[in-house]
Amino acid sequence: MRLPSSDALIRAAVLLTVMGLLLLLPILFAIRAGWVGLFMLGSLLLTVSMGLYVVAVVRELRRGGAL
Amino acid sequence: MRAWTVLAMAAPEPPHGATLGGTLEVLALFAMGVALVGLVLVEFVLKSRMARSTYRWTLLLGLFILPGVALLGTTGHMFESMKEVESCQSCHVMEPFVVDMHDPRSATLAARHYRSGAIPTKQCYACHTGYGIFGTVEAKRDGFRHWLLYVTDTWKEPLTYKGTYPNANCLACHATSPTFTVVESHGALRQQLANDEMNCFTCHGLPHPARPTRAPTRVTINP
Repeated sequence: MRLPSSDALIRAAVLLTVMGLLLLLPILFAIRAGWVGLFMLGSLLLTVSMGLYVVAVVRELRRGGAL
Repeated sequence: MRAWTVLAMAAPEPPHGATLGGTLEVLALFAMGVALVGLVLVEFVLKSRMARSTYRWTLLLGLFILPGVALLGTTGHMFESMKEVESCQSCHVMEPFVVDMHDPRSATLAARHYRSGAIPTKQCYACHTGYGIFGTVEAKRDGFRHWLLYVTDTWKEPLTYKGTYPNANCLACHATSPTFTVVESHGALRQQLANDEMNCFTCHGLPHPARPTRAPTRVTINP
């Protein structure tokens, strides 16, 4: 299976982070049951984006021979 | 009810200085703002003009460190805010309980504690958190279960307390108070109270309105 390029992974991570951070915003202003759900989704997106970033960096380092 | 009591209840004193929740909120907002602006600029505007290493280091900040700070700050702020009565009341399921607590004519334990000012803030949290080492964790677990039941619309009316209310939660405040120790029957029943063989509510009345007297809280079509 061919993995996407590091640039594509990072672009996806950036987009997921932006969405994740925006989803965290409402809960900072008021506690509502529905916004707790947004917070959980935002946390998930941020975790996934961090994972994507780590994968992209590790691939670049391997390609460069540093790992 | 005397006028000054009503006035005191109507205008609760705001917290002095910075609160943990407020500080975490500011921290999270700052990290979010910097991360959002920085990421958009770096990825969509400055990427072609930056050295590859600078780009990677900037992304480490924008994709890892700042979102991590924002997530921790938001989580901490949320956990702190969840202790407020308003957050419990935000689910309309809890409305009859909070309304009763604020009712100056109510005789329930929650209302009496509120009127006396014995628990000035975070009244729900004060009584519904275990005072053992895992009390807060158990409260969060129960809170998550309540949230799931609420958002999936699967709670059952009338609401019932899961398990038995531990006397330790009452005794955490009352056990050493003179008004408690002066009562002879408390001393005589010490062992039963400590072992939850006898409940405080048996003599002191219900903490919240009895189930038949509560108005239905469900507004959806499910019975």
